[in-house]
Amino acid sequence: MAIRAIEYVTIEVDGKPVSLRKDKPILWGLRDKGYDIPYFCAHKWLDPLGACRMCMVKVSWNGRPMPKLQISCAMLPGEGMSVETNIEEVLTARREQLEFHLINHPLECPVCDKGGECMLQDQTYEHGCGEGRYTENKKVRPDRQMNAYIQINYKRCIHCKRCVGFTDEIDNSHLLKMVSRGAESWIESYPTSDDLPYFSGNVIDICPVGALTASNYRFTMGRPWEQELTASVASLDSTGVNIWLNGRLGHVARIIPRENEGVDTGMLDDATRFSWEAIDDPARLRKALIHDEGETRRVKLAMAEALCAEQLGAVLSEHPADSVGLIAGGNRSTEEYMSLRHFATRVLDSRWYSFGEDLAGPEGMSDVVLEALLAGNTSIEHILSASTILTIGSDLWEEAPVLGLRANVEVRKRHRRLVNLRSHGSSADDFAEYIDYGYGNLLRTVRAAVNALNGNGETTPEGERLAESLRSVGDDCAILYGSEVWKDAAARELIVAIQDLREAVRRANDGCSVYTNPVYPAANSAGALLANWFTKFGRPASAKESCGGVGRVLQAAADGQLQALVICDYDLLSSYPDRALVEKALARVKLAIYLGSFENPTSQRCRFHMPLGTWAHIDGSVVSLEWRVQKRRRGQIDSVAPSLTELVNGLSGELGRGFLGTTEDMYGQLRHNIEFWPRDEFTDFPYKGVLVTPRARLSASRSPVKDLPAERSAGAGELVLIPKSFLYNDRDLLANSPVFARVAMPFHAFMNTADMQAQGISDGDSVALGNVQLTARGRDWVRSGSVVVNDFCHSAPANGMGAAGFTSLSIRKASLAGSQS
Amino acid sequence: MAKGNPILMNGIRHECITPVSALDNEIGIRSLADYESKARYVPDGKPGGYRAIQHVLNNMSPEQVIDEVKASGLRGKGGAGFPTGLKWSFVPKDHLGPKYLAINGDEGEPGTFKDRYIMEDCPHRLIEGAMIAMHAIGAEQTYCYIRGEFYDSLRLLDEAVKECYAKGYLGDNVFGTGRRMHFQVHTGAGAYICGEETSMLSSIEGSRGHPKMKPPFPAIEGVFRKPTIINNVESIACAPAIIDAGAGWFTARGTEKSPGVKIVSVSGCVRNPGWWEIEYGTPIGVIVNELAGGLLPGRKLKGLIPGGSSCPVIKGEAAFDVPFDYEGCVAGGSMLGSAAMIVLDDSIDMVGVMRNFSKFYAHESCGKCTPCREGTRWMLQIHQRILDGGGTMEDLDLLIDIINGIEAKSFCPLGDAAAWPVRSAVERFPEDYIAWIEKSSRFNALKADGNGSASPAGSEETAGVEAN
Ligand SMILES: Cc1cc2nc3c(=O)[nH]c(=O)nc-3n(C[C@H](O)[C@H](O)[C@H](O)COP(=O)(O)O)c2cc1C
Ligand code: SF4
Ligand code: SF4
Ligand code: FES
Repeated sequence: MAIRAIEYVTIEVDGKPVSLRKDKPILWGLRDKGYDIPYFCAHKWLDPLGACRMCMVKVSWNGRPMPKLQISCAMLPGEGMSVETNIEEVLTARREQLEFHLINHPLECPVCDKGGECMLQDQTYEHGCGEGRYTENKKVRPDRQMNAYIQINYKRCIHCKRCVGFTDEIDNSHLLKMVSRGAESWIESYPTSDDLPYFSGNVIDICPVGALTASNYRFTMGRPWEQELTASVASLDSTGVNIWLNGRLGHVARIIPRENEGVDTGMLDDATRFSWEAIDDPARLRKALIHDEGETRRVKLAMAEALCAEQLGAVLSEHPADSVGLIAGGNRSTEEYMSLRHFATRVLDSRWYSFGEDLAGPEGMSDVVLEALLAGNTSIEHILSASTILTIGSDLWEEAPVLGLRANVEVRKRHRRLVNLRSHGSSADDFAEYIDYGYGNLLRTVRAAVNALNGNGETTPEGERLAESLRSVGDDCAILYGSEVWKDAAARELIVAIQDLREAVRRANDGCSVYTNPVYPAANSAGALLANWFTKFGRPASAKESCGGVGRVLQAAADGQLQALVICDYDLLSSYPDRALVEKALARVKLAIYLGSFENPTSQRCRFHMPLGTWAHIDGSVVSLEWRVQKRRRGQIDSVAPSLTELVNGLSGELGRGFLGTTEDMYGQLRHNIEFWPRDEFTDFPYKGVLVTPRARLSASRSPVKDLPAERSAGAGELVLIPKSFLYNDRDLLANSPVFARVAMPFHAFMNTADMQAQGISDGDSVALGNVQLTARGRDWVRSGSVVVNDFCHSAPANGMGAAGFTSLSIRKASLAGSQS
Repeated sequence: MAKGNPILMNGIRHECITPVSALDNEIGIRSLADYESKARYVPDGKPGGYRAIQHVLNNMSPEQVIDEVKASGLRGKGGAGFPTGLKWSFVPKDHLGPKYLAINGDEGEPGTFKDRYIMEDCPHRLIEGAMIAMHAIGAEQTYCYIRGEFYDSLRLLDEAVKECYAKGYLGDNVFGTGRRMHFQVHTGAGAYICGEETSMLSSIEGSRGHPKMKPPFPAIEGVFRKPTIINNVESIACAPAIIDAGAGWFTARGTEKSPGVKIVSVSGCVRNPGWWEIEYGTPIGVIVNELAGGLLPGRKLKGLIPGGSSCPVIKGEAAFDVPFDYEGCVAGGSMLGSAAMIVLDDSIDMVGVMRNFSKFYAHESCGKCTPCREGTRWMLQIHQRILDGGGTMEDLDLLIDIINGIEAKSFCPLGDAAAWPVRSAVERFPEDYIAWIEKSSRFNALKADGNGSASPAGSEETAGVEAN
């Protein structure tokens, strides 16, 4: 269902012709055109409800007026329609309804957190009658906590039921319900401890009054008009969700969505929204840490820089080239990667650098894989309007929550198809078609499906089923692939095989459009690719090219090729798939330097830990999964920690290698050297970002492989370990945000109940997976024969449970002595 | 007006005459389907006894059934009086997939007691009617939604349904014709709003009983988003008679625009409350004085509500001359509604009546839309305050303002239903209100200040809070 042209119709409004979209109720069209029709219960995400009765207008058809006033939120425009928005009858009706809204309202705007951004306040000011006639007793009900984040003030609720609509129609969580009847009815929630909130914060935004507020914002973080707003971009996933970063008195006060039609339509996930507390948390490093012979010293940054440079200089003087490894996580800005690149090539003279998580497995990136990653990319708008959306090894809800949410809404409301090729169940199961593959056999399944679609070569039952579901995809098909691909030992082949699949689907459907987009593991994985392969995207090679991946750097360190390791904002020990390799590398190098905002298991193993500003403290561009270049802007908040660019400039200076360039210089280099980079200036970069089409000079030639790799399955009595990427994990911002302490983070061994019974394990038992202990939880969405664990947990690192790649292990009930969750 | 044998049930006197009585005086609806003797309701070729549905299944196309019902002029008995045959014809013929019939047995309107007796006394008549309707609209499933408190109706109708399944009248092979017809009895939980058709559908779906947006109308997208016809129990129970006796029997009775017969339930200040089946157009005076035994001795008629608590009150003896049909009641200043006549004599205080009505509507408002949710509660509070001796003259205007805000502006007709009787009381019986207000301390205090008619608004703090 490719994007369709919008149809318009001209109607008469207050005697003047106005052209409105045919598919939207007139309320929206008229408000866009400046007609101030008040409303409360309607919301552009939701089906019209017709509850508040504020939006009434007089409608006539071909000169014949309808006897009753009509609610404009549910009225589609049509030929021969005329609308009166300003006649006495309408104005009176508005005043009447507003009076009804206010009779039970506490009128406590001076102490209400919504005051200043409240629809009821604004509309009363515009349309109200200025005095109340209600002298009876008002309704009251004590405030209540709705879930870990949200509190309700019942007195302020105007019963618009938008919040109920959101949890029923949009996120399908059914968190909020209306109970009882009439004026005595109220909004109630029944959160269970295990239900993690993913999108509940959106009800705060859509509540037109101050009834629903964030517990960590209300009464403490100031009033809306005191906030200094900065347009920025969310940092937890690669969707590129737009946000307003609110600062007050130098501190972060909250994060709220910033609507970008093409990306998020104003939706925001809870992890991003509530993680703001960590940004100013006392746990964030303000000074450097030096771990020396079991002792930790806290020193000023300048002094640490000097000490660090001294030791780095010693290494460099002994081994001038290719002796220092440099690794950075995928959430830094593109400019920071550029400065790191300069630091690596010009200061360290090393090719052992790699930015962003490994996409192509431990063997590293190649031209063929890079080409496959870039091929067929399209915009989120196109992905969501595709007739069929196929996800491969990616639980969108966890990996790109807002994209996942929007996809679910498209499927449920507009009857698109969602097909999940997956190793375990997900929240989309209620309305998606799904094909299970045994974890570890993704390449086998994809190739089998390609063979089946092409009618040529060996296939498997799963491959056959996938092919079957792709034989008629409709007008177009969007393929999204994610974490299980990146974690696969055969990621390289897999990424290429997905391109073969794309080709096969296109052929099977008369050449219809088929798109492929990676769901990257981090917010700026695409920017990291650019900086890693700058000479392929931009200028021809002039400096040392990256060695090709984090795995390669670590291997080199473990092999003793490297003397020192610089790790930037990447908790390798907790999240790199091969923990043993990280351990070896850290043990082998003489000098390990960590640059990051928070302490974590990896930083504690490095001699130097330099403080670093978080994403909220620095300016810089990030590139989302749809290749939308957007700018993160530094919030109106105090920072005592530098950006990576500042840090490496400092180190370079101390080492006597001079100044590498400012953030703007780095941006200038990107703009100058990369042809498809937006032409805009850094200082006034467009607020909604710029979609680009990446092009790279690659020497890629390949021919499709038809052979299926051998099937992998669990050993006798063993379960396959599935390290799953959850939205809630031990990433620095989440691990240090106090608000998440109230949430039951998914740090469990999720097992199929049948397996648990067979092993004599019951829900809540402590079990041992390799050397790691976890609490067992029986869940239907786990396939029998597998165990799902969070792939990023400090206390129970999934990468420590077995070998990297494919692990099958037997699960024991842990001895009582060590039992704890 | 047809007459039947008076019977005594649940302590209330009834005279039960139904359309069937026209066919064969011997086999009236009651004697056919009386709980004790319902075994006699068998397909023996006599009128009643599933003769109509067998005739329909064997000889009539759905279009013919709809045409016959249209020709009879049958109007919905649930309140609005919408022509039933016309409603049936709205179901899209080419719709693929299931369609449904939903029978409205919620009977929540205060003053109405008729459907429960059909369900209790002649459940088979209802089941047969449902089968005819299912044939006409192409449905295979009926949901019969019964008010939660009607325990006996549920039990008796359920037993009748079981009996039909056992005998093969209902099921996957109805009367051996290969047709599938199923009948599911569904109970409500005692919410008046679930009598409103779209709320009833929400309730059947298992959701909260909130009315749904129209369009799409239920005939296009109803329960489970499939085409659904909703009819009152009485409307459906008329269908067998129309098939058996022919449309002509119906049109020969009643008035031109309201043909046929209707069950009226009379309550209030009469000697002999009960329910009767009458021809449309019978003057209200005849119903009250001849059937219901007239007013209590020495009393005069103060007001009369012809159609249940949601209709305006007609003032004075003039009500006796109003013909009891849809058009007549409107001309008389009220509505026929569900034909639940409430008779009020001169011992009745209208403010008290309206306090009770407002209490009912405030309690039964579903809470979805603002005017009804807030307005009904406000009206109740004002009435209570007047009765508690705190009324002022401004309250009368305020009540009318509140009603203006509710009427024609609420989401579903419950709001209107709450507003209409109060408006009629304030406009037609102001003396009752004024009598209370003149006794009120607040009014007198204001008057003593030389401020007898000043608005109290803004001059007084909210009196406190009310615990929930
Ligand atoms: C608030 C409200 C309550 C209603 N209650 C009932 C009821 O209890 N029984 C009923 O048959 N119709 C009731 N109705 C009318 C129904 O909405 C609907 O019009 C009727 O069932 C249609 O059937 P009919 O065409 O056979 O009359 C009610 C309507 C409203 C607005
Ligand atoms: S809590 Fe807010 S969104 Fe929910 S019904 Fe009340 S006013 Fe509306
Ligand atoms: S009028 Fe509004 S509040 Fe009242 S019952 Fe109907 S929808 Fe509910
Ligand atoms: S916005 Fe139209 S009824 Fe609420």
